Amino acid sequence: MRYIKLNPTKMKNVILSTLVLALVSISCDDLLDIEASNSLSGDQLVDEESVQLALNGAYFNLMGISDGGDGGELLGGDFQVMAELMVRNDQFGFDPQSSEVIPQEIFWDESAAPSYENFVNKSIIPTNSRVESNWRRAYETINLANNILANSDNVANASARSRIQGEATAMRGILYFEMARLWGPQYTTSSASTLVLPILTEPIISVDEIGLPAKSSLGDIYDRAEQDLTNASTDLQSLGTNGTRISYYACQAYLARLNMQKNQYDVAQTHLENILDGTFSLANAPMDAFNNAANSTEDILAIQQTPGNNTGTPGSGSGLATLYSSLTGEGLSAFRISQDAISSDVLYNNPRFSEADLRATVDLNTTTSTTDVSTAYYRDPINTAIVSSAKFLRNTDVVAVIRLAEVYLNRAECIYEQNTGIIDATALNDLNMIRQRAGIGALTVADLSGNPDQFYDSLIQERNRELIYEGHVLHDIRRQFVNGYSTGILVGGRANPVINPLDPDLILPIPQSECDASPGLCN
Amino acid sequence: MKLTLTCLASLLLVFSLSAQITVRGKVTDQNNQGIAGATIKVDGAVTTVYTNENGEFTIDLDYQFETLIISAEGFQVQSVYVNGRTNIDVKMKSLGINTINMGIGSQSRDELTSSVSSINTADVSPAPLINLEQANQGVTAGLFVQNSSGKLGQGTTVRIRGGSSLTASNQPLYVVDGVPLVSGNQSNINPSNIESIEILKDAAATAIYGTRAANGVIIITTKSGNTGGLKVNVDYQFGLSQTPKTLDLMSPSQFNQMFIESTLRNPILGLSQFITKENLEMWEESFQGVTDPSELVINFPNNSSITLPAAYLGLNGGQNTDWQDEVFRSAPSHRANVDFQGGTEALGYFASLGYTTQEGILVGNKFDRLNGTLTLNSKISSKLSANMNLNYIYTDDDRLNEDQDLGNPMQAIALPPSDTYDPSNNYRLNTFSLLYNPLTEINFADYDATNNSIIGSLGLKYQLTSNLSFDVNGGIDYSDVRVERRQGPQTLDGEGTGLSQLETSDIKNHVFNGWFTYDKDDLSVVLGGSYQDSKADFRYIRGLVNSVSTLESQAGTTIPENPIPGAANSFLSAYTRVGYSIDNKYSFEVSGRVDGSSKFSEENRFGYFPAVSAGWNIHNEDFFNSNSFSSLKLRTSYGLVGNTPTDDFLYRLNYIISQYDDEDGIEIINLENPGLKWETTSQFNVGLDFAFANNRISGSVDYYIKKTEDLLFPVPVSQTSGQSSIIDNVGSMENKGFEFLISSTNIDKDGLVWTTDFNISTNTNTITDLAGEQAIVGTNAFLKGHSAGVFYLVEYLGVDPSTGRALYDDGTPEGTTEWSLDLRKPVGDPNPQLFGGITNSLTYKNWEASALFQFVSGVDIYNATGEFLSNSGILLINQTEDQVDRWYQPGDEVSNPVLNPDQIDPNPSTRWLQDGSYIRLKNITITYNFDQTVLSNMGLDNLSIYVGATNLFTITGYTGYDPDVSYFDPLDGIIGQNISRGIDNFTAPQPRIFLTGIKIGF
Repeated sequence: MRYIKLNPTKMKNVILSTLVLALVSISCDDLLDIEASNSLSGDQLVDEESVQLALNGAYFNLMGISDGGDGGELLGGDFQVMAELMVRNDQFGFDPQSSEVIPQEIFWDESAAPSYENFVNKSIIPTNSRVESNWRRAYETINLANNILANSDNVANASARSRIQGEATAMRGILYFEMARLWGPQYTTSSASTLVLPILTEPIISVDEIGLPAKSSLGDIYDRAEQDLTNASTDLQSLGTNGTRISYYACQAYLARLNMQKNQYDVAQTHLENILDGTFSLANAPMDAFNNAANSTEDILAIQQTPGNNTGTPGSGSGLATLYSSLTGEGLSAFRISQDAISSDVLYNNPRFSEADLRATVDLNTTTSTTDVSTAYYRDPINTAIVSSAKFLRNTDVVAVIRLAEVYLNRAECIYEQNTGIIDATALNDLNMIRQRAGIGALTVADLSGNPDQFYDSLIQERNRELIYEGHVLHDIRRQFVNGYSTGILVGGRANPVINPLDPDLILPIPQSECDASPGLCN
Repeated sequence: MKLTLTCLASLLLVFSLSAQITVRGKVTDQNNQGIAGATIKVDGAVTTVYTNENGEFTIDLDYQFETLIISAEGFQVQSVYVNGRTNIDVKMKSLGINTINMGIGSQSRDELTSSVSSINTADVSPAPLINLEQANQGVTAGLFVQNSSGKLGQGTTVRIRGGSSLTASNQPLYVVDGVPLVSGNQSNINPSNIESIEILKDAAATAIYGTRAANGVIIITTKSGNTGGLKVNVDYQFGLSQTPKTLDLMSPSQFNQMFIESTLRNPILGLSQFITKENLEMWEESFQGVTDPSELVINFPNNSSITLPAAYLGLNGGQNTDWQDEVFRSAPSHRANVDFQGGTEALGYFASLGYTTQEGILVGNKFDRLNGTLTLNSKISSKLSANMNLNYIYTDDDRLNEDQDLGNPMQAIALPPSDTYDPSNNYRLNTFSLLYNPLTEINFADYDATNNSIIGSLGLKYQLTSNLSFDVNGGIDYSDVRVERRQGPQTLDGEGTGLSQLETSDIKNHVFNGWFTYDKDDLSVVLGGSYQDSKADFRYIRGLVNSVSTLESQAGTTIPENPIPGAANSFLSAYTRVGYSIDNKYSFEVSGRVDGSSKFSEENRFGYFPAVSAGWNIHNEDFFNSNSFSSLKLRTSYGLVGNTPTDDFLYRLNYIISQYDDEDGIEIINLENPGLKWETTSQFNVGLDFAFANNRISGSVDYYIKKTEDLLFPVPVSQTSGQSSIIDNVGSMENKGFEFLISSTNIDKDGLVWTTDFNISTNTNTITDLAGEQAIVGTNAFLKGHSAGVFYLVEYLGVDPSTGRALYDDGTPEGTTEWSLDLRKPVGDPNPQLFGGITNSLTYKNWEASALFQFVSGVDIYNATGEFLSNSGILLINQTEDQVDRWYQPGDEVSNPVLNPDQIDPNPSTRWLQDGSYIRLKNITITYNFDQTVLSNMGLDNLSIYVGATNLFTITGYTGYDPDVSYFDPLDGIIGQNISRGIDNFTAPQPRIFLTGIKIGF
């Protein structure tokens, strides 16, 4: 046996050198792969749990939940607010045709909520920050939905996979439909070929995948949305109301809205019947449908808000409660309503509430707490000359996106449009359900002098009452206008105060920043 | 190594000499530490000896009445007349530091081929500046220090040779005792504990720090133990701070005239024609003391009349509130420090405890800091030595609201002087009850930040052979910051319920480092590797409750708490530096680093940062035979360094956690960008070091060109990707400039020594390419062809004499009265062209005096305060007195437009852009050192007392409080800091401080 005699100094040198070498050459990638708290990187959508996380993230965006910077976009407010402001008048004026004074219907407080003034002025610039925020967040949501769909195969459980696919597909369909309505013209056979906005159905995960987008036609966007919502309906049909998430019924409601907008009233009616076969029921009183901590019996799709996850606070300046509420700590009272103008018969699309209408009640006491408000309107505690709508009192309550009341009114309209020569009993009954709940009594055929036109007028009037401040009227009057109904928006301060609902000024422009980043898109 | 050789040589010399009269002595530095290797030469003779390791020498003299000339590297030459003595102790004055700590290894000044500035720590101490960066303002060339605000505990902008980035950090890399800091706690190191500060400027010096060195590196070395008996130093300082300036604001009468004008200017009234300055004065005077609202009537020649609003009765009663006096105060500060230094070769120690408490010049602002330090160094065996440094930092900062916030005390200066407030009514104003009084905030809100931090390192050095050693060390940099904020129900933000916020950050940074040093003859080699990882966790909660403890107890239940993404990154690196010198004439150096960073994709992870440099010691050439020049050296370098993005995971698809309906979700925060890489900065440097007249004059001059390529910049992309922009490598930027340093001993005679240190630097910054992009934030912009952060404003042309409206440049000769964003253009530069400082020191017997003037030139400041405070009475808030000279009637030729009662938007323009050049007496101190003879009876080594002042006076044309200002909102992050330069927005001035102190050593 040979002994190897080691020189201790050399040995030390060897050990030290080895240590250094080890230090320098330890598997580099291990040392350089590092993770931060509350942040996830790389391929994350690998199993049911992670894909579900992405789906929740997509809801976060779709519902316009605030993160301090963003907030109140898309279904979470702006889709309603932008459309609502475009049909309201905040300018005093004079109508030369009727020789009537045009009253101010609302007073928009631009300093409380900047960038919305463009909408009420019907002059929307491409650099408007709300236009840009909604555009970007919509595509962000669509991209997340596309990512979920591309990775849904990683969800092992078949029923979970179908549910996740259904919800993600529905989100994409809802957004393409909503965006087509806001950024595009009213759908007609001739406008269907108008190029409106890009359709993206493939996920983008790398900057290398950002291409130069090209616009698709209005018809293609409607087709994409209809296809998505139809596929989603299939995926979700067995899940009933699917908790508070997007359900089969929500898809059906959107399919109905879409087909009504396309003048496909028979198709729309089928979708509406599917909803009415479900378990939803009207809330007892009109205001019972609002300011609930959880979905009411008539909520088909609603935004869930909690103290931690809501569309915004007076601090962040976003969300419906923030814009509409005038109660300290709840809102900024940006959307100020003139009590006198609520029943104006000069303004178009005005509710013209009757005295008895439960939806016109006003609390004139100076209210400071949300729990004190049980009326439809209440006096602004600071600016006592105006009133606030009580539809959006708190940022912790659910906000309805689709209510059963709309479904009834929609079905009545679908039935009427399929045969405008008669007053259909079901249609009249649908209308009366809403009227009776509001305390204004049922109409009979005799009350309408048997005249189907009078029925239609009443139905439109009822939509203007029931759905006020919920962002429906802009889309309603466009649809009604192309069907030959004489309607428009009356604004003060203009030589010709009537705006045609199809006026291009009411169509959102593609944001300037998008035009700048995507050469050719806006030509 | 070199010192050992020279010592041996000196011993040999001593032996070889024949016996004459032997004179003994000791050569020491200012701290009484012996200087080894000092040269003692007999004037007019050839005899030369050197001091031993302890600084002692013996020299044999013929007469004992010779003059000895004593020189040592890094010290001023001294001549001593022996005058029959046999024992001569010489205390040398430092020229600066001879051995340059390069962070990893050190180099002697002679061999140095790169551009490095050293700061003599004796310069750092007396001023009561809390922040180390502030202490270095104007002290050395190439280092630009700008205060963001005079509020205590605020950030400081430090630039070495200009900023090299737009979106990544422009602050230098700080290395404290071998630990590259992540926490930002360099500001909180106790200045008394600092042994040396080296500023590595060119690529040859910084390349060894690789991807993080583009902005230069600042090496801070704290004091260590020494061999010898225990030495204790105690010092105490008292300071009194006050505002250096108050603005001339309108008097109550002038304000009331403005009130009357604001009422009459209402276009509906049609009374503008009667408004003259004289009439306003007359009306105001006639209403003084009136108590009946019906008497507030003005009758006009056109038979119309108007009654002023009854609110005027709250203003005309002779009230005179000096709002500046309400918020500024004389603020005391105390600083106490004790340190212990000593030990043996086996174990040396340095320990210190320092406490500083300083009140700010604005009410409610206070900063306390406790520093504890322990350093141990041990020679465990002849080959193994170890050292340990621990710096503990605790700070407690009573903060003020951000400058633009109405609760900031400075905002009080805009309140009406003729109004008063009622402390029993929450300090609300009695008349203008809707204006917010910051005193409400001061009295009903708390804003308290505490910082618990530790910076420590542990190192071992093993001498493998006489030429080869190995160093290994590990370091930590931990920082826990907790910011508690409560705004009571009485305050604006907390109205009704109170508002509480809690923000914490927890930073943990580790570094491991190992390197070989080989040093033989003319060759020196450093080769090593390091690993560093940093993690940060953040928490933020906010709720409508009136205490932070309630907030904490309810967090996650009734008060929501959302997860905040943390930060994490790591670096894995290998580095080397090889130096070779020939005949002490030519030195060459090659250095470089391979840096792997977790911030980039696998393909782009590793960067190579090489540098080469060369030096030529001309004074050692045979042909260079100059008696006057003792040193003349030419050096040049070129190399590459880098800068990494601020965000950690830009290269890979990155999600953050968000919630819907209280369920966790994820959303994409950035897309994968595998091509992303670091910014690369190449730097060329050429410099000349010189010393002549027996080293009485020495200095250096440098010229550099720094070019940054692959700038990280947010490039807009199609938002159909879900993102509005991506951080990508586009564009380039250039910095170039000169640096000049000179130190001279002007007089050294009969005990009187006068020295002058002067430095001046220029820098020109230009964005040379930005791939067609631009960025505009507020009043500043990143634009191709301009300096980063260039002021981008509408140009103000003056007042239209016929209408009194402001005129703006729209390209037409007459200008326009319509202000518009479209009229903006680059109009001024917030980056200084020129800056520097001059220190004069006088020593006479026991007295020492020193004065530092600091100057900045060729810089613009945007006085954003003026948008409200000097804007013709906008919003009817108080104005600077010059606004009395506004337009009243057609034909008035004045510089301020007419008061417009409907104006809300201040219309930012060059009306408030000003030259920000200044020269300031930054520090002045007079010290008395007690005689050694007196002290030794008391058992003391040294005792000195001093008085001084900081910011005693400033010469500037700037009309705001302080031209040393660059406010940025910390919420805007690094990009905000990079672009928002040179803004004064109700920003507190740097205080003027009078101070006195005592230092005792025993």
